Amino acid sequence: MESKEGVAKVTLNRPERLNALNSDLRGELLKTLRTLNSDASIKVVVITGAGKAFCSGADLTAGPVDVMDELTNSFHPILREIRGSEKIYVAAVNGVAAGAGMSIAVACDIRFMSKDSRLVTAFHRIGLAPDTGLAYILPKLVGAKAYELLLLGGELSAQDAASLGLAKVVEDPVQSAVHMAREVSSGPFRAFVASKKMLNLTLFCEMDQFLRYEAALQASLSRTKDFNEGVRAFQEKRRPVYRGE
Amino acid sequence: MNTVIEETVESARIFRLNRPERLNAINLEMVEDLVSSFNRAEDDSNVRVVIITGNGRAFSAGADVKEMASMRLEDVVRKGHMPLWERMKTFRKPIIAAVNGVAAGGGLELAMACDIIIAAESAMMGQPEINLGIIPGAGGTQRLTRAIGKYKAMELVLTGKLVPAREMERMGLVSQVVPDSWLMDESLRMAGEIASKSPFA
Repeated sequence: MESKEGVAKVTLNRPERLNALNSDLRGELLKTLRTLNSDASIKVVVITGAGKAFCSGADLTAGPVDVMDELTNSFHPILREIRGSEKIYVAAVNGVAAGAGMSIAVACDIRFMSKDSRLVTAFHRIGLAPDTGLAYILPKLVGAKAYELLLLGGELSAQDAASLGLAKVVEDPVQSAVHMAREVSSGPFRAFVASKKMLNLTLFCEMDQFLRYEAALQASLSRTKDFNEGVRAFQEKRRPVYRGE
Repeated sequence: MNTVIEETVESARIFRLNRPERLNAINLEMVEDLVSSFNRAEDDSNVRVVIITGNGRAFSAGADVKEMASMRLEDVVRKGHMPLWERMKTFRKPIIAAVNGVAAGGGLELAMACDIIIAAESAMMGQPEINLGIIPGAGGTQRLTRAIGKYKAMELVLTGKLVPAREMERMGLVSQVVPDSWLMDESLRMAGEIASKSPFA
């Protein structure tokens, strides 16, 4: 984390694992966001990833997990810090944003994406459904165009995301994000925050109820044979064989 | 076959209504079994919370109408099921209804005689007694009115219609609606949370 003139830059820093969100990284990220959100001198937060990825989502190599606990006490609080914050969040998507990494990018207020970056749902590949609010926030932003992507899984190229109005495609997303962050922080900032609050009320007012529902469904899925197979296939680097069980 | 299956998970005692082929309709045998189950749960100091749920696709479709038909209606209401309601009234530990499917008539009254109602999202609830030309005879008219107000209660009792769990949540009868696959997890979680607090309070 670095900050300068009201703009903080948060870099997810596990480049060797494509910034996969293991418990340590999630804990640090949550702590950092809480610190920034309660720091009156900060106005804009830029989130990016170290190395070639933005964030590859939950770390599947971490072993058996309690999905209900992880979503409720880790992923969802991170999401709430971003959405509920009186700061403006800018995602600088420098490479692939997959799974919960995509959710975090989509939860930010503004996105810049590099030309070769992608938003990948990833969840269905291991027998799960989208989580960390993705199936709530994305349809609110782009409507029916996200339906099939969220239903069956898939990905959006940076160009796809741009044509949906979801992101701007730039050469250097971090540079562009910081540039915009400076403009935002030197503008009528209270008006921007009030606008964010109104948009939250218009678009996301039932997020807490949704997240409870999401956590229960995802936790149920995490007990299925398909999820077990999906994770094992991922670890063994082979194609999963699903049976709908 | 036992009409109630008991299971203990940590400090929670689960009663599973077990007449799935009759949608867990409450007959005299089930009344007797439930009363014994409550007695055992009351006496067992390891049990801090009771959870009632149904085996199969229903919570309970209500009083067993076939059995009722062979008795005088007054005997059913006054004698037949009374021991259950009396037992629940004096039962000292919290009871959670985990409504897994349809809860109609006496089935909904059973859920309402509990302290907290958690429902699966596919569950339907109502007081369809009017369709048989009778009224909810086990507290339904009273408990429903207190929970959702006179006008909604009148609508349900006079039309006999069944409404989805989410509507019951909006009306304040159901405290939580969860995905069907998560009903027992949430019920046990809440039971655990309650059990962790002072039993004297």
